[in-house]
Amino acid sequence: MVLGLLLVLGALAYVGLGWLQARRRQRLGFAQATVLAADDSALGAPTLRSARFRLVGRPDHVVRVGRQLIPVEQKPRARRVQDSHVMQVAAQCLLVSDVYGVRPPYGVLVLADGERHRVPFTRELEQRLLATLEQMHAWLASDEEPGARWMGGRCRACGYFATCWE
Amino acid sequence: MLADLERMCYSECMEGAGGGPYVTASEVGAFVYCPESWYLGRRGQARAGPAVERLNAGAAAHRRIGHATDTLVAVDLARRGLLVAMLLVAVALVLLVLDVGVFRGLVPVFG
Repeated sequence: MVLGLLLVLGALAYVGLGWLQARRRQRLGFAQATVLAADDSALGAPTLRSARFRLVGRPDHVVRVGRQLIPVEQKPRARRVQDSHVMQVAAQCLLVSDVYGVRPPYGVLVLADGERHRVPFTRELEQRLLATLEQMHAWLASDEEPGARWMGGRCRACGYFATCWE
Repeated sequence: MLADLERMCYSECMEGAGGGPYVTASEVGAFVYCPESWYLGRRGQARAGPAVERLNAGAAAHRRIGHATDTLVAVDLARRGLLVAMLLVAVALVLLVLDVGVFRGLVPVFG
């Protein structure tokens, strides 16, 4: 009788915790994945470093989906996907590919309220990323300044507004 | 936003061995957003105004996400433990139902 009751209580707790976990996973943006690494947590996350591309980074999460390693970038204050977010996720995908030798088919961007966006790591995106990296390294090598360009609201909201425009 | 570790990494990576300085993944995003602000950030120029508060709020939100991940991992572990405990209880229950005698002390378990 007691054992039966324990079993029923255990099963209820198991199902209840599972429901809570599903909601938490949803909010974090990885419903069907196993978390392998997490920045800002006890789990920790390795710094991925590629000498080939002279690129380093640490994804907010690295999760396993099937046999794939997927980088997850959290943007908890963003309401919409921006090109800069996409390129950052692409850079994380390139790092995962170069460090672990397994090309992620996509990276994940999680916006405010857990809104999840898949960023396909296509060859086109990779080419854009490599071109961007080339530009960045060229600026660093030249030691010249790119120079300010007026971008309206983006400039007004920027922490360097006074440096560029006053 | 540059993660703390990536920022720390600058000192190591700014003059990466063989081929010049490294850039971080978040810098790639910053560069695409605005090359000039990326350049100023790279040079260590301090930000001013509400943007600083937004950066701090972003860092705090990331810490909350890290904490939520810890909870997720801990509860996953607890669920696994619960499942094992339930299996043991279920086995005990089956043995009792089958009345194998071990629980009554009628059958010697050892010797």
